[in-house]
Amino acid sequence: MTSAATESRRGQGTSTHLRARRADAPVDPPTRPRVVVEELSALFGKTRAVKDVSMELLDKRVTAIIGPSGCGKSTFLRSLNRMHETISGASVTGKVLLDGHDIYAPEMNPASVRKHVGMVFQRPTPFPTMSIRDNVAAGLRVGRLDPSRSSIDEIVEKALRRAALWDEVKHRLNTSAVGMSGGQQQRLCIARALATEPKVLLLDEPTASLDPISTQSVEELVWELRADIAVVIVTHNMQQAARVSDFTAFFLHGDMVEFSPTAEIFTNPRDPRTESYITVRFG
Amino acid sequence: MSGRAEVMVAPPENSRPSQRQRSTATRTAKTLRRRRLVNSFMVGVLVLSAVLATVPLVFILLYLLKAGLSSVNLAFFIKTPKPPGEVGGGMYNAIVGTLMMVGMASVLGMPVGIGAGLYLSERKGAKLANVVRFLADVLNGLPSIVMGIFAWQLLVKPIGHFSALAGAAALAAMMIPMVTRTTEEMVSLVPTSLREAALALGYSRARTALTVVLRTATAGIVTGALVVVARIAGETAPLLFTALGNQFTSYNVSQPMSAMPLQIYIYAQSPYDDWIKQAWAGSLVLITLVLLISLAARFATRGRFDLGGD
Repeated sequence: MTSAATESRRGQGTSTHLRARRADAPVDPPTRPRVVVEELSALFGKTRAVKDVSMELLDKRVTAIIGPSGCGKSTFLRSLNRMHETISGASVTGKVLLDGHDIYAPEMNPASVRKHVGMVFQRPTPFPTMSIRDNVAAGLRVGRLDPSRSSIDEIVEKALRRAALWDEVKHRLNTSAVGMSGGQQQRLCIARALATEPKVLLLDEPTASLDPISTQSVEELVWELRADIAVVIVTHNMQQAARVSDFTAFFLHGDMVEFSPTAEIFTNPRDPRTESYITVRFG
Repeated sequence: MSGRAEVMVAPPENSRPSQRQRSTATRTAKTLRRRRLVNSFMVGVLVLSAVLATVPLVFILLYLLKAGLSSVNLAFFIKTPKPPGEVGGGMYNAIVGTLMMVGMASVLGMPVGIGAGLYLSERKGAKLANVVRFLADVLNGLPSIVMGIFAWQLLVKPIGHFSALAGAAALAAMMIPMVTRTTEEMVSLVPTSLREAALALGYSRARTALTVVLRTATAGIVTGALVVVARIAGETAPLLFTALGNQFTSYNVSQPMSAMPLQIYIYAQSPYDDWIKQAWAGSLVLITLVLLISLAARFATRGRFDLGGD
C-alpha cells in the first residue's frame, strides 16, 4: 500500500474529522510493536468470548477496537492487562507479549503487569474516600515504590497536566474527587493511570457516560497521549474511532474480522461484514 | 389506536366534540373517580400502618417518662443500690457494668464480625461463604436465652463461678453474626468498578479490600456497628447465667458484675416500691442510651456515605 493510495482514499473518507485531523498532522516517526498478541482466546467458563485473536499494537499509536455489543471487544481489552481473570470462571489461552515478555507466563505477577498497562473504565471510578491528589497518587504507593512527598507532588502535577486537568484542579488538590464533574472525574482517572508511567493505556469506552464537550476533551487527550505511549481504545462510537485512532480492529462474535489502518477500514473495508457494519452505523 | 389519535389531535376551533370523544370522556371521568377513591383508600391504609408501627415506641417512651423520670436524679447515676426498705441509692454499679461489658464485647466481637463480613462480600460465591452466611442468619435468629445457657456451659461451669468476662463473651457471640451481616451488606454496596479500578492500578486483592473497599464502606459499617451496640446494650438473657449481677460496684472482670438490664430485672420483680421506681428509671436511662447511640450512628456518618462513581 503506497502512501499516495492511502491519501487518495482519505480524500473520499466518510468522516470529515478524519480528514481535518490528518491534513495538518505531521508525519509520524516510524515505530515498533509494543504489545504482540498471539492466538489469544478469552473464556467465561467454557464459552469463548474472544477467539484466537492475533495482532500487534504499535507504540505511539492509537488502536481502536469497534464492534457490536457482546462482540468481545471489552473482554479482549481486559485480557491485555490480566483484568479478565479477576472475574470468577474466566480464563485466557494464548500469549500477550509486552516488550517481548509474555504477561501470562507463570512467573508473571498480574499486579505488576497492571502497573505497566494502565486502564480506564467506562464509568469514572475516582476513589470516593481520597482527595484529588491521593487519587492520582494511588498507584504510586504500590509495591516497593514509595516515593517521597515532594516527588509525589511532582508526579501528581505532571500526570494532571498530561490529562489536561491541572488548571482546573490545582487549587483544590486536597478536596474530594466526588465533587468533580463526570468529565473531570474521567480525566482524573486517566491522570491516575498515567501517574505510574504505563507503557500501554487501555481505555474501555471512556466517553460512554460523558457529555459531548467532555467527550471532546477526552478525545483530544487520547490524541496527545499518542506522543508517548501505546493507546488502545474500545468504543461503540465509530466516529470516535475514526477521529482518534491510527488503526482499527473490527470484532464480531469474538472473532477479529478486520484489522487495518483506520483510514482504510472506514473508506475501503476488505471484509463485507465490516462494510455492512460500518455503513449501517454511519448511516 | 385511531381512537387515541383522535383524542390527541387538537380539534379545529369552534368544532364540537364528536360522539366518540364525548363517550370516551365520560368513561374516563367515571373510572377517574373510582381510581381516585381507591388511591386515597390505599394511601390511608399505608399511612395508618406506618403510624401503627411507631405507636409502641411513642407509647413506651411516654410511659417510661411518666413512671421513671421522677426517680432519675444525680444519685441514680453516682450511688449504688441501698438495701431493701431503705429509700434512695442508684444504679452506678449497673451503669459501669453495662459500659464495661458492652465495651469488652465490642472489642471481642467487632473485629471478628467485620472480618467475616468482608470475607462474605469479597468471596461471594465460595462454598464456605454460603455456609457461613447461612449460619450467621441462624445465629441472628437464635433466642438470646440460648446464647446465655451456651456461654454458661462454656465459660461459667468449667471455671466455677460467674464473671463479667463470660457475660461479655455471650454478648460478643450475639454481636458477631449481626456485625457480619451488616458489614457484608455495606461492603457489597461498594461498586465493583471501584474494585476493578484498584486492581487495574496494580493493587493486590488484599490491598484493594483493605484500602479501597473497606475504606469506602467505613461509614456504613460504623453506622451498622453502633446499631448493633445499641441492641446488645439492652440484652438481659445472655447475662443472667454469665455476669449474674452484683449489688456492689465491681471493676473485676473475673467476678460477677451488674448490668442495667439485670438490675432492672431484679428490681422490677421485687416487692419494694422504691426498687420498682428505680426499675422504671433504669429502663428510661437504658432506652435513652440506646436512642442516643442510634442517633449518633445517624449523625456521625451523615453525608459521608457517598460512594461516588455510580
